[in-house]
Amino acid sequence: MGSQITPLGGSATPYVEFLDVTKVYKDFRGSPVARGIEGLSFAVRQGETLAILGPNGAGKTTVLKLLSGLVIPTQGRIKVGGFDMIREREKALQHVGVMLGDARSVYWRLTVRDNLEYFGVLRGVYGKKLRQRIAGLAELLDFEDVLNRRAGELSRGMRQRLLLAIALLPDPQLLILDEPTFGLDVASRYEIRNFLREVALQRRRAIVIATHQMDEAQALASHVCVLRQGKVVTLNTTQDLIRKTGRVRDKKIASSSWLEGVFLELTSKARKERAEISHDGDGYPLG
Amino acid sequence: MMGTAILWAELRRGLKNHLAYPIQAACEIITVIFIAVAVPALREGSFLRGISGAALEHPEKTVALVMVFVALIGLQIVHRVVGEESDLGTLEQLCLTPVGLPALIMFRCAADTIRMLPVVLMVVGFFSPSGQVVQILAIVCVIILLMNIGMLGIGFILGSLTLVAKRTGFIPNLVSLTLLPLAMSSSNELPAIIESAGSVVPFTQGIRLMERALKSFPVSSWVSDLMRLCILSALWLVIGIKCFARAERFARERGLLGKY
Repeated sequence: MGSQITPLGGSATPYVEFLDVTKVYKDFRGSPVARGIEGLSFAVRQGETLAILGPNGAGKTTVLKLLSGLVIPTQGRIKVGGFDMIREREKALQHVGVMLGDARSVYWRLTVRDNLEYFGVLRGVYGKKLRQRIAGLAELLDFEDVLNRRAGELSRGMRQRLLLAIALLPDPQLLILDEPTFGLDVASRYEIRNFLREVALQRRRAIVIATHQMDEAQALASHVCVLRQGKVVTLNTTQDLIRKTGRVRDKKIASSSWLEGVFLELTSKARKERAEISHDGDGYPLG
Repeated sequence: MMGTAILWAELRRGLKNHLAYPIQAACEIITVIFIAVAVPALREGSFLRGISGAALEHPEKTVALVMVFVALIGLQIVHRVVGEESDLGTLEQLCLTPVGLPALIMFRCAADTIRMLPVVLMVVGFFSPSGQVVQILAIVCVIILLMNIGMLGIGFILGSLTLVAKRTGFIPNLVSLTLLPLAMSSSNELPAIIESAGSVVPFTQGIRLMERALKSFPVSSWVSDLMRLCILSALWLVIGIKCFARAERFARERGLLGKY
């Protein structure tokens, strides 16, 4: 039922292990109301970037929330840095940086610097080290000019940079990012993608990223997982996907990148199959 | 070291959040000045007639009234953190830190209590018999600490409801209202049933102890009551945290964290 763990990146021990994870959302009486994901397994090693793609409601955010411990799986096991995400959540989170899609997840009344100082302390960085980290990240992500401005007054792009900086404050081994460049202009997108590529490849950090932007996944990811209605459509290395789905490029699909073509091909195929199953009276049960 | 850093960060965040807007900052400063002027007037009998009379006859009631505000911090903090942070969108961000939500709430409660403490100590200081101010202030600090630990325990139970059931703000408000009669009446004035119910509430125990401290009863006569408050508060805190941990797990299972 569940897809196999990806044999990613050679023999190194995986930093993230997602083992046959199913998430069914239930109501107060315990009756299932929606299926988040079904039997998903994957592994991510340091230096690798896994992009989770899928249409709206596919389960991308559920995967990120499971990985960061905000949601507990109905079935399966999640390990981060060798720690169980359910039983040893606090220990696991010491090495994880999370950037959620919600732009309001900072204190709008406080300045950028205040937000960074506050969340830095909560993530175990304080004193001189914290001040150095803030200065370094502000320079790297180019928001030095707005350090003393209130978060509520920032542009969308600057707020995205602030959220990314908060995730990077403890210099995490694993970065979990939900649409990190959503709403950014081309130049900002380019800068942040380059920065993330450097984080993964040169600093050997593991990154899991959920995105709707195929060009982003194509630019950043060493591996791609396509979800549809909570199930895996494909889970492979980006290179393999290029090789195996090369034929897609020959088709006349109006797409801005080859991966967008692959995505459209895979998800429309899955949609067709689902429609046929539904016709037999055994459709997607809970979504 | 880490704990001190978090407490300091909470103090700064709370203060900056309060003083972020000029009108709010001005109001807070005016409140402190008002208390500093009004409390001595109450003691001298030059404040509004009736109010100052009551304060002269029962100075401990004035202190009890201020203590209500301290108790409200413990009682309401969990609900406030869960409710307000969900509304702001910051609850998930807080849950992503390795500190853990219950520990973070305890630090926030400590920070808010420390912010409130100068006002309480000012009032207690005015109504303390001269010559014993320092000892009374010290014991008041201990009572406030113990009382608020217990009220925080009750707060965790009420906050558990906020985590799972949502829109339950009226419950902490309702419970808070019951503190007023407990604060304004003496131990032998209340009906027996209310008195016995009140005896398990750390706030009531704290207020009764405060009365004794202000009236300078010999220390030996209320040490056992202090121990009782200590045990009572510890029990409430343990029950409250266990209850909150279950509610937090339920919320994580149902995907309710951050939704309000």
